[in-house]
Amino acid sequence: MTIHVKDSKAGYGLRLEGEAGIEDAIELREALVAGLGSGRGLNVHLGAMTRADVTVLQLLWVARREASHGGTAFRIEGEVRPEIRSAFEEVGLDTFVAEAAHMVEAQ
Amino acid sequence: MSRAAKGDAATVDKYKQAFQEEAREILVELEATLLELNGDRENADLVGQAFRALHTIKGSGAMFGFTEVAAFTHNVENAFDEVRNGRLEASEQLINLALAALDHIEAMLDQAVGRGLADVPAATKILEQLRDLTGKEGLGSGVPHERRNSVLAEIAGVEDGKPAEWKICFAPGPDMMSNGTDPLLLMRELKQLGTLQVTVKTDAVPAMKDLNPQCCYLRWEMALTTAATIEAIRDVFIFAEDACELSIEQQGAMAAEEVIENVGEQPGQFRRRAEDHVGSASNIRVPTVKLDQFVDLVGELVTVQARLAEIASRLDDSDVASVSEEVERLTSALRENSMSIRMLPIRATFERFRRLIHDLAHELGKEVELTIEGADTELDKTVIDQLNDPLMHLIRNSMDHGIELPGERIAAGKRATAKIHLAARHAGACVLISVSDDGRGIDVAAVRQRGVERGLIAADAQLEESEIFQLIFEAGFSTAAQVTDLSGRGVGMDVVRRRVESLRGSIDIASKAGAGTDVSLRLPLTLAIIDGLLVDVGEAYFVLPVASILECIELTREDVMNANGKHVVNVRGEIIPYIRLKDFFRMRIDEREREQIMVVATDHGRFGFVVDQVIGDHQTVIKNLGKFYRNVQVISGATILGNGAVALVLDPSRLVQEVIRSVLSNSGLEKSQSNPWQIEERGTQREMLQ
Repeated sequence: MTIHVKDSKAGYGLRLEGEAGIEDAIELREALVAGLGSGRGLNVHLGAMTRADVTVLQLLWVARREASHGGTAFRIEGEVRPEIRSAFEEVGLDTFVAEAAHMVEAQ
Repeated sequence: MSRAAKGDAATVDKYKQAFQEEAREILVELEATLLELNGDRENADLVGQAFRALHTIKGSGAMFGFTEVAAFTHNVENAFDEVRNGRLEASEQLINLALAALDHIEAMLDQAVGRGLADVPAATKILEQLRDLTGKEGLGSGVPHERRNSVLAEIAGVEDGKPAEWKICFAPGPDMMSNGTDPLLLMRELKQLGTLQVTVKTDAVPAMKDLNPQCCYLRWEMALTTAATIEAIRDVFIFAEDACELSIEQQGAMAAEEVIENVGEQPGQFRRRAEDHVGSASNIRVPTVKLDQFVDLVGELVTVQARLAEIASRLDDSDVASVSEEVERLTSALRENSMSIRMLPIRATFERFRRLIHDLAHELGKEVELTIEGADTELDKTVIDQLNDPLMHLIRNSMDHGIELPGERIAAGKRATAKIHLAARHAGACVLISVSDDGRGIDVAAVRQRGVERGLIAADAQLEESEIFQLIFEAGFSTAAQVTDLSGRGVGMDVVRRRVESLRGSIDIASKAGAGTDVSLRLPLTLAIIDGLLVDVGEAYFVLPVASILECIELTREDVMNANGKHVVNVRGEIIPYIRLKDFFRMRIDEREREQIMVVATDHGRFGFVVDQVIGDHQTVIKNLGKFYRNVQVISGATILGNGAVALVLDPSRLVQEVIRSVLSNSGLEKSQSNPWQIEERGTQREMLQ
């Protein structure tokens, strides 16, 4: 997976591209921690992510939880591919994508 | 996307490979079960074990796309189901058919990875014979597709009957993800069995800062509605069982009887078993290549530690010395630990021969019982891997030449059933492995006669029995009047000796006419790192294995004078011959006033090796000398010392053997010059002159 970082006034943007698995988990956590710590909200673009294992799904879920607890905006960007949406659903995190969108609206 | 496809394919390959490995292990266990069943036909536990093993291969095979394996195994499993239900007898014919079927399953597994081709006509014959036995139509290639597909669907885990609801609680352990198991894939597999509702538990997921991103903290409760058996559900977790907490319980009215009948254990029992796995030290599967790399790295660390110790000794700094000692202690512990990881019990190697003996006995019309002793004796994996062929040769020889036909045995006052005994035990830094039988023994006179005919010994040579037996290990040596498919061509025993010697081992034969033969292999415990004693001679360093050293004594000029030029020394009344390493290696160095003799136990008795001085203990990482020196038998390898110098690791037994050989071949020279040890021409027997 490739992680593209875009830090701007509009927020801290991460674009995840390609297959994301356990081998990317450490790098992804670092990127998410940086985004959450930026204080400008975290935008995660999932449109180009083609595969995710449970470690990646879990990290994204934790990032959303921390953003929610800290009052930081957390936004899912891009059209989430069906296989990624399905992966969230299959492990029981089916509300993740919808709730992330809802969080942005609520901010 | 192509990367995604590649990733999925890699995952599938990994599962297929895991299935291959598991299936082969199950086949080994199943073979042992069948052979045990052959001697205890009424044993319902063994029948159950065989059935469950076949069921697992079938179910997992279907799940991972090995449909032919699954379909074929289904037939054998059906037969054992009939036995389980008392409708069929566990006859010798069925057991032999099942054994043949195992061979075919293994061949199919080999074929799947591009190794050879499975014998389809033979498989068809097995299926026909199974059909004749059970009276049931098999699942061979002649069966209509519809019927075949429906049975294969059943094999995949969905059986006829009402769907039941199952509650599955699943909590991955901390290492599960890093071991390559993704819960997502398990859930996808479960979904294929029926309707799945997944509830995720997130309460154990820590904050981002405390979270190990490569661990899964999520837990799940799942409701599965399926007609599949508990075993099919359990099979989904077959490769994750050791790395998770898992419980599977049937909900609602208990169809427990059915469950018990199907899998032989209640859901609760399975839960406890899964919990036991979690509570106890779990096992992980590690590719041997990684293990070898690990041991290599430990070897490098040992070498670096030796350098550190050497530098610390020069610096005279107490802090550095203290750290160096601590590193030495840890390195030593790590070395022992890494070596122990490589150690495997010899049980699997021994047990594998049950089948060989069973088949050969059948073929030769002999009755043979195998007994095993010391199966838990552990040896380095590399040594074990190399042992299979030599042991097979020895057993084949024993079966073919040693063991008599039942009639002959009875006429000789023996039991009709012969015995082959495989034994293993530790002896210092070595393991002794013996293959013995109670057959007719070796005809010493015939071996001697053949040796004379082949020009290996003189007609009037005075040889001890053990020396005559050593002729058997000469290339092409055979006394067999008849060459059979098994042995008698004289090919094999020389290969056995070469293989054993390549492992730095030795081989001996003892035999008594009419009573049997015992072949003993002495093998080193490990090949990679040994405890050595570092010595020097002139500017050269040598390492001797500590395990073979008995004591170290001083040799003075006076001692040498008192021995009248003979290379012997009196050690508390015992005369011990010695070899000067500087002479053996033709090193031009001056005589010293005082030298050291390392008294060493060898295959040829006690010998002394004279060195200049003993430097001390040394953890010796043995490196091969390379192709150019591979024929230098007296040296096991080399090791790098802390100061960067190279020390040669000596093989004491080989060195003594080489000296004896060279003495015997120099018989034309002046005796006092060529033979200071007084080794007589009748071999290893030594007579000391005083």
